[in-house]
Amino acid sequence: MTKIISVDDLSYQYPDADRPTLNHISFEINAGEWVAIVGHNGSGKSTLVRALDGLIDFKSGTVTVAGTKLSPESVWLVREHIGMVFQNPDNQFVGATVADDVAFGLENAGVPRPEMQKRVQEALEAVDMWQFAEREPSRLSGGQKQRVALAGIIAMNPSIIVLDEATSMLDPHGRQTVLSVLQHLRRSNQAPTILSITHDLSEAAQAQRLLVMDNGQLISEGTPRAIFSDEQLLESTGLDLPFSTKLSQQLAKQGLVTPKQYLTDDELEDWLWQSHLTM
Amino acid sequence: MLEQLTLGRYIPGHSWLHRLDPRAKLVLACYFIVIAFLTTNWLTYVLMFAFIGGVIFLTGLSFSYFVRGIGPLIWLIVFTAILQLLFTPGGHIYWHWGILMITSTGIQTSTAVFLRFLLIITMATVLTLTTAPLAIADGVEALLRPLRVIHFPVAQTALMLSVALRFVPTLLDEAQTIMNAQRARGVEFNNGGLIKRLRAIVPLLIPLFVGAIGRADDLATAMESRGYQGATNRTRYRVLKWHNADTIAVVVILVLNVVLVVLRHM
Amino acid sequence: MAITFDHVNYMYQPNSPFEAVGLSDVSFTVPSESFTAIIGHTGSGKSTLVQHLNGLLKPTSGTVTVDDFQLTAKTTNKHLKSLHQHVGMVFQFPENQLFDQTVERDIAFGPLNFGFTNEEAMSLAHQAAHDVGLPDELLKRSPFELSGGQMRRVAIAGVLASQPRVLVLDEPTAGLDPRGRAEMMAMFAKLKADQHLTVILVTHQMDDVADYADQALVMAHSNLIKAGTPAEIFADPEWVKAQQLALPTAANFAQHLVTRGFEFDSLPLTAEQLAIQLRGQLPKEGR
Ligand SMILES: Nc1ncnc2c1ncn2[C@@H]1O[C@H](COP(=O)(O)OP(=O)(O)O)[C@@H](O)[C@H]1O
Ligand SMILES: Nc1ncnc2c1ncn2[C@@H]1O[C@H](COP(=O)(O)OP(=O)(O)O)[C@@H](O)[C@H]1O
Ligand SMILES: [Mg+2]
Ligand SMILES: [Mg+2]
Repeated sequence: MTKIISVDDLSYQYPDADRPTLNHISFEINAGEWVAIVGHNGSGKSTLVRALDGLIDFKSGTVTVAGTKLSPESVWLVREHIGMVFQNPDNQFVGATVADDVAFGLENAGVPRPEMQKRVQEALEAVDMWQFAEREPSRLSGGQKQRVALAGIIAMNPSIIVLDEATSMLDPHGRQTVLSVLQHLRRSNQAPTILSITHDLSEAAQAQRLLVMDNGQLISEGTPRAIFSDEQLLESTGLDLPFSTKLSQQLAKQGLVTPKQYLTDDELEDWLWQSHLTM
Repeated sequence: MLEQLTLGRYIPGHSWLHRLDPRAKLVLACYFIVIAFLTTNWLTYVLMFAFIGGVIFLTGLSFSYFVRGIGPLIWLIVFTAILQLLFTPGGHIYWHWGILMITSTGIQTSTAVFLRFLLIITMATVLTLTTAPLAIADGVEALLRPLRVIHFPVAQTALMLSVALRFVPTLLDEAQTIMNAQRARGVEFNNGGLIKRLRAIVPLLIPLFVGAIGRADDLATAMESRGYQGATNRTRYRVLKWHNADTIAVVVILVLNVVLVVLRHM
Repeated sequence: MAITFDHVNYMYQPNSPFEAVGLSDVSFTVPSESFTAIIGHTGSGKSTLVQHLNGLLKPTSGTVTVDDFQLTAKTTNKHLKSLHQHVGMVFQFPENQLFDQTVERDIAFGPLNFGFTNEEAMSLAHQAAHDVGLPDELLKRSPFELSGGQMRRVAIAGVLASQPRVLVLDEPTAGLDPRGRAEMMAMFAKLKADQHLTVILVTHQMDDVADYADQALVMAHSNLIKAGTPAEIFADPEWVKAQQLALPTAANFAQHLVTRGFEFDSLPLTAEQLAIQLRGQLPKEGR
């Protein structure tokens, strides 16, 4: 498998901070992989993904994206490979209308107008927002705005999409629509690499791999199953426990049988059904 | 009160006027404002008011909405007209007190000021009600384009203007939320003397300012991540198109101008 | 304090092209010292409803009664101040309302406006800071130097310091991490118990409704479409789905178990209730 992102011994301290926000971080991400970054607020997740896009000026360590080592000279090239969606739907909406916003990146890249029109329409159709092309952002819901932000990225066809808590300010319905766009995109022929920061366990569970941040350090990485089965890790880093784990704990309190290892919700359902049948 | 004010608001719609090219609308509105000063006798006023009445009809919005919308501004117009009335010498003097007087010339000029002001404000209202802020920004940019020869940063200015306009509703919402939050903490915004009112503004302005800076920071990051390297070398998604309707509108105004000049001398 | 809405209607910007219905014929009663959740999709009228509780909005028609205070279209602003004091409002992202130079002064701002002396206000501020778990050493700092979670606690303390009897919370845990959410919800439950508050919580978290609420109000398109205990609200999963709402996680899981032949007297809403109802349907440990 080809590596699309390599981070080697990355450290960073904000100019006015008294301690480093990123502390000797190294990891790699394969092309086409879906990776979630989890960790409590202030653990350095946003700073980390900003470093990948050259949005902070780190002095120590290296970042390589799609074979290009990030440097002041290569930063615009690297940014072509990465599309970023941020947390606040309002603060990243540049255009005065939906279509204008999607076109923003294409305009920056100097894409000719006929080509631009085609790509704007295709991208808006991909996120199911074409019928709102002429709307102003003030008349859209949060979920719709985030889908427009995604369309702006889809139109640029980057190989990597980074989501920094893109769903955390949305209601459950808005969150669901954004996630289903992502799943759809994974199956399309763009099939971008996805790197998403999230607090939502069901969202993290969809990833192939999790990176766990704590106080500026990458303290663990592994499959969702491996991470979710480590109750101590989850508790010490302030993460939620999966529902299956919470239920198992409650079953134990009632003196009932519990599975010997971590099971996903679906697996626990199966397991309970099997135990029920043995009664 | 502010909610009532219509000048500066945009109401989305599909009327003939909504669809006119913003360049045409900007130029023609300015042109109308200039020729409003050609009015001299009652015939010319009738013509101009009939014309603006027709324009209001074309907006597809209700007449009473305009009347109520201009209402808050009427006092400003009346005030200006009264100043004219009291300070204009000439003609027959009906009344005077110190430097204040009411003269026949005064009555004439203040009536003219009142009526012209009304025409101008109604036209400005029509322009903003039927033209999206973005379209106005586009129109202004197109009209400023010749300034590029003197190295005026037209593209940059236009982008700044459109981003600023885009954030107006967001910031208004935020201001409303902060006001509510502070009212809930016992602040009275429209109560008490001047000093008290000014003090009440601090807990509104500081959070609004802090919030706006945060937003600007986020926006700059988002723009950079989307490849924005300055306003040069960009292509444009939105282009303005001149239609037959725009030509017709220009002709109509020119005809209006000619008729006006003729009626002036009757 | 008990709260009653009697046929309350609210219209935004009436008689203009921007006219919009905010509330349509809403009636309900909230008992004193209860915990009420308000749920419903975005734009359903939740925020409009709660802004009537302390007179930030006045009904276009109908009456809102809070204890013995009656709010109608005719209530003048002069009379609203006592309502503002007795009904504390924590807005969404309340940290956006901080403005003063120190944490302490920001928290004392409400009490000062409500006519407490400087000394009283400071002591109320210290008490409120303590109640929300802010360490003393932060009190002299600028609120803008704190972390997001701490800023939110300062803002909540700023509301509590005026000693409200009713606490209205509009999505108070939005944007926090899981531990922050859990701590904050536990904090509200404790505040309610210690200070005998009536709590109104606007939320999208059905698990919080299941865990904390005595009753819930369901809003849709400016109408109140259902009111009852969480058990009553979630009893009909089909109806819940039709309203674009979710079931609490445990209830959803229990639904799946029902299709596998498990039986429940009533739909369990929390992991604990579910485990209790599974007694007798699962083998005992160590057998
Ligand atoms: N612009 C900045 N200047 C100084 N410190 C910052 C800045 N942005 C973030 N920090 C600090 O860096 C740490 C990590 O922040 P962040 O990367 O945003 O974490 P996360 O995204 O995991 O919540 C926090 O302690 C935060 O206060
Ligand atoms: N200031 C306003 N002007 C006009 N309409 C508004 C305003 N605020 C809210 N509304 C409308 O009132 C309805 C209810 O909104 P709101 O109470 O904010 O819902 P919720 O809090 O459930 O998301 C929505 O349709 C919304 O568009
Ligand atoms: Mg972050
Ligand atoms: Mg709301």
